[in-house]
Amino acid sequence: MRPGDHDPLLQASLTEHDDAVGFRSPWDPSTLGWLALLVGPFGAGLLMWRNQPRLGLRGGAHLALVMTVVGAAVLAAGIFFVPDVPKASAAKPATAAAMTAPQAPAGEPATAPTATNTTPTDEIPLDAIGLSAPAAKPKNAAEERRDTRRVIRFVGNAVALPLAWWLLAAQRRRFRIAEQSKAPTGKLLLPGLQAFGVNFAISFVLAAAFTALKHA
Amino acid sequence: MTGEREPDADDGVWTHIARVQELNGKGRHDLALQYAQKGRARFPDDPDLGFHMAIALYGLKRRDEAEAIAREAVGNDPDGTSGALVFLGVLLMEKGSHREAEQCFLDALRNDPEHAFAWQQYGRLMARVGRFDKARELVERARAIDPEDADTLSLLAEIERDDEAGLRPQARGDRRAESASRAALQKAPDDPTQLVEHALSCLARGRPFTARRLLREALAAAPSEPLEEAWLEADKVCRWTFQPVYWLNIVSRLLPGGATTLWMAFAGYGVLIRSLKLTSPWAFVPVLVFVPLALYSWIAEPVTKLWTRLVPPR
Amino acid sequence: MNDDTLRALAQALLASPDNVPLLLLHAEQCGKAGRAADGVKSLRRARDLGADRRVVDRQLVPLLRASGDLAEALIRCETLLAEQPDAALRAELARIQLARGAREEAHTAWTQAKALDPTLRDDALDQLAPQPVAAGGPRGAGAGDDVDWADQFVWDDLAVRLDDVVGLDDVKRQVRLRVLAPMHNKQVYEAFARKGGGGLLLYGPPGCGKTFLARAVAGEVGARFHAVSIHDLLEKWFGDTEKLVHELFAAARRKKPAILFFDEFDAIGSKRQRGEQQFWKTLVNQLLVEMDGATTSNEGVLVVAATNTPWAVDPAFRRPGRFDRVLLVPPPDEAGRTALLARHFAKLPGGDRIDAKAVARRCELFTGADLKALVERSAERALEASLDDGKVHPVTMADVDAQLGRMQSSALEWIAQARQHAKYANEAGAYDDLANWLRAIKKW
Repeated sequence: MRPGDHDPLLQASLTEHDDAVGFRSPWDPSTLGWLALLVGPFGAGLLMWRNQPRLGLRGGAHLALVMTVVGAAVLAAGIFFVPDVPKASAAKPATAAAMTAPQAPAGEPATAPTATNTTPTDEIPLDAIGLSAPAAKPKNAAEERRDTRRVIRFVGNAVALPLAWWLLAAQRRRFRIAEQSKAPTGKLLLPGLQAFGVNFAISFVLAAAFTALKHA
Repeated sequence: MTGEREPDADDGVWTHIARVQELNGKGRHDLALQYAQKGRARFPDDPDLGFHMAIALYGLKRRDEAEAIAREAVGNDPDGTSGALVFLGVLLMEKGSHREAEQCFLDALRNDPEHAFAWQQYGRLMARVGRFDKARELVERARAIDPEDADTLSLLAEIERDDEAGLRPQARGDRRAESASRAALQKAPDDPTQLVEHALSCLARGRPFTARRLLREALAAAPSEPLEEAWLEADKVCRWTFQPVYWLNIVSRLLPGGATTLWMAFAGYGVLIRSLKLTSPWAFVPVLVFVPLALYSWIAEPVTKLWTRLVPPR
Repeated sequence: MNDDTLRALAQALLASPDNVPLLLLHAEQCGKAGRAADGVKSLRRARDLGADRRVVDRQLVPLLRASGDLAEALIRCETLLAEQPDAALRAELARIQLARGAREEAHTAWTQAKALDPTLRDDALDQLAPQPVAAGGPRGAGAGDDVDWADQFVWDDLAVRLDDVVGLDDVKRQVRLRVLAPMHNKQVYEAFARKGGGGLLLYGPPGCGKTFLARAVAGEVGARFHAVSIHDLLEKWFGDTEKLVHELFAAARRKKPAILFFDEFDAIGSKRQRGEQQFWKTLVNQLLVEMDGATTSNEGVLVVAATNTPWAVDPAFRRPGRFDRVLLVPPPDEAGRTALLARHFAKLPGGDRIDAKAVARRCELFTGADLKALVERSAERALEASLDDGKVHPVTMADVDAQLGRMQSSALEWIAQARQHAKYANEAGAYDDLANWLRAIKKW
C-alpha cells in the first residue's frame, strides 16, 4: 500500500491516441475548419476524413457523413423552399413603345402595349431612327432567386465552419501532440483545391437531383 | 526536491554523486559523465549515481543512452527515492511515449505524494496532450507543495495561454497567464526562463514593447538561437507595418470564439447589408475597414521582413 | 657529444648516406642532443634500407614521443611489446600514455614495468601513484602532504617558445605586448606604478592550442609551468579547499618566475550560483583572493587560464588585477593551416609530396586538433598497409581527399554559441575581438 494510492488525481488517463506515434504529415485541423468556409461542407468532410489516418486515428467516415448530410440538407432547403419564377415572355423588338410602356410591378406580367397607351410614333423601331436599343433589364424575380441561392450556398459554407470546428476537437488534440513532438506537418493548398472541386461537383449533382425531384 | 539521499560521511559514493551533480549544474556534462563512469565502476548499482549519469548523458544529447541508464537506475531503486523515476518520465515524455511517461509519474507520486517536481512534470505531460483541465489541477498541486517554485508558476502561465478557450474569450486565459508569469518572475527575477514566459504573456495581452524588452534581457543573460528567434518575433510585432495585424489578433482574443466570431460577424454584416439593401455609405464603413485589414494580414509578414532588413532590430 | 660531433656525423652521412650503422649512431646522438626530428629521419632511412625493424623501432619509439608523434609511437611500441615484452618498453609505453594525457593507462603501464624491473626510475611517472582519498577527506593532513600534492603539477621538461606556435600571429603579438613585455621590462612598468603578475585568460574553440600557447608563454619567460586541471582539484573533494588553493599559489611563488595554468577554467571558476555546494564557492572565493595577492605578492607569478566558454566564468575574475587580459585563440587561418599541415605531413612517408596549401584551402575553420586528426586519419590506410607487409607505404593525396570529404570543423558549434554571446551579451565590450573575428569569417 503506497501513500498516494487513493489520490483521485493519480489515476491513469492516457490512451494509445495520446502517444506521439503514427503521424504522417497531418494537416492542421484549425486550418481545415477555416477551409470549410471556402470549400464548403462536402469538401471539408472529405478533408476531415483524409486527415484521420494522417493523425494516426482510425475511422473518420462519420465526419464526412455528418458534413455531407448537413450540406445536403442546406442545399435541399434552398432548392425546395425558394419559389420558382414563371417563364419569361418572347423577346419583342426594341421599340419606343416598349421603352415607354410603364414597368410592371415585380411578379406581374408586363403591360402589353395597346391602342390606348401607345401613339403611332411609339411603334417606330428605334434602329430605324438611328438609336440603339438599351440593354434588356433582367427580370427581378430571377435575379432575386439567384441571389437567394447564393446566400444559401454561403450559409451552407458558413454552417460548415462551426460544425467542422466542433467535429475536429479530437483531431486538434492529436495535432497538438504532433506539434509538441515536432512531427512534420502537411500543406493544404493542393488538397484544398481538390476539395473545392469535389464540393463544386457534388453541389452541382445534388442541386440538379433536388431540382429534378422538386419538379417531378 | 524530495526523494534525495542525505549525504553519509562514510559513504564514498556520495563523493561521486556530489561531483557529478555539481558538474551537471555547471553545464559540464562531459566532465560529469567522466566522474559518473568512474563512480559506476565502483558502485554499479547505485540508483542516485545512475540518475545523475543519465542527466549527464541527456546534457550531451545522448538520449537513448540516458534512457537506458535511467531505466537501470529505476530497476535498482525499488523504493523510488532516487530522482531516476521522474527523470525517466521526463525522457519518455520528450520522446513521445506519453502513456509510459504517465506511469512513471504515477509511480513516483504514489510513492511520494509530496514530490512537487513530479506533480509539475505530470502537469506538463497533461498539457502536452491537450488535457488542460487536469494539467491545471496537477500544477496547482505542485504549487501548493512548493509555492516558491518559479517554474511551476510559469508552467501555469503556459497552460493558461495554450488552453483553447472554445466559446470563452481567450483574453481571460491570457489575463490569468500574465498574473502567473508575473508572480514567477518576482520569485526568480534573474531567470531567463521566467523572463521569456512573462514576455509571451505580455505579447498576448497587448504589450509587445514590454515583451520585446524582456526578451532582450533574457537574450543578454542566456544567449541562444531559440531565444534570438523569439526576440526577433517580438520585434516584428512592434513594427508599425505589423501592428494592424497584431491588434486585429488582440481584438479577436477578446471575443468569445476568437477570430472565427470576428469573421462570422463580418460575413453576417455583409449579408445583412445585402438583404436590407442598405445604400448609405456609412453602412459600408465596417466592410471597407475590415476587408483591407484582412487582405493586409496576408502581406504584413513579408512587408515587415523587408522593413526589418532596412531598419535592423535594436 | 657536442654539436661539432653531430655536425661531423651529419657530414659523414652526406658522404655515405646508405650506411645503416652510421644512421643508427646519428639517430642515437640526435636523441641525446634533443634533436628528435633529425633522429627520426635517420631511423626511417635506416628502416628503408632494410635495417632490423625491431632494432630500429626500439630507437624510433622514444624519438617519436619526443617529437610529438604520439600516435605512431604508440602503435610501434605496442607492436614491439606484443613481440618482446620487457620493462624498458613498458616504461616507454607509460611515458607515451602520459604524454597523451592518459594518466590511468600510464600508471598501469608503469606499474607493470616496475613489476618487471623495480630499479626503474622516472620522476613524472612515479608521481602518478594515486593519492588515497579517504571518505571525509584528509582533514588535518599536514602541510607537507599538500605541498607534495601541489608540486606534482610542475612540468620542467618544457622547451616550447612562441615561435614554435604555428600561426596565431595576432595572438602572439598581443601576448608579447601585454604579457611578456611587462615581465621583461619590470623597471619601466614599476616606474608607472604597475605591478607584475596578473592573469591571462585564453578562450576559443576546443583544440586551437590554448594550452600549447600557455606553455610557450612559460618558455618565453623561462618560467616554471604548473598545470592544474579540474580533475586534480576534484580528487581532493573533501580536502581543505582554502589550503589547497593557497598551496598551489605558494608553490608557484616559491619557484617563480612561474606560470600557474588552469585548464577548463569554466569548470573551476564558473559563475557562483544559489544552491551550489560549499566546495565550489570556497574554491572560487579563494582563487579570487589569491589572484588579488592581498596577503602575499604575486610578483613573478602569472596566472593563465584556458576555457572554451568564457561566458560561464564568474565575472569577478575579469576585474583588474585578475584576468584583465583576455585573448581569443581562434582556429588557424589559411597560412597557419598550411604550416601546421606541412609540419604534420612532413612526419609521414610521402608527406612531402602532399600539397599542404591546397589541403589548407579546403579546411576552413578547422582547428589544430582537426588538422592533426585529418593527417592521422589520412595516414591510416598507409600505416595499416605498412604494418601488414613491413614496407613503408606513402600517404597520398587521394587518402587526404577521402578524409576531407568526411570531416568538418569541430569549431562550428562553438562558433554558433559564441555568436549569440558576442551579439547579445557584450554590453561591457568583453567580446569585441570575438565579434570582429566573427565578422571577418562571415559568421556574424
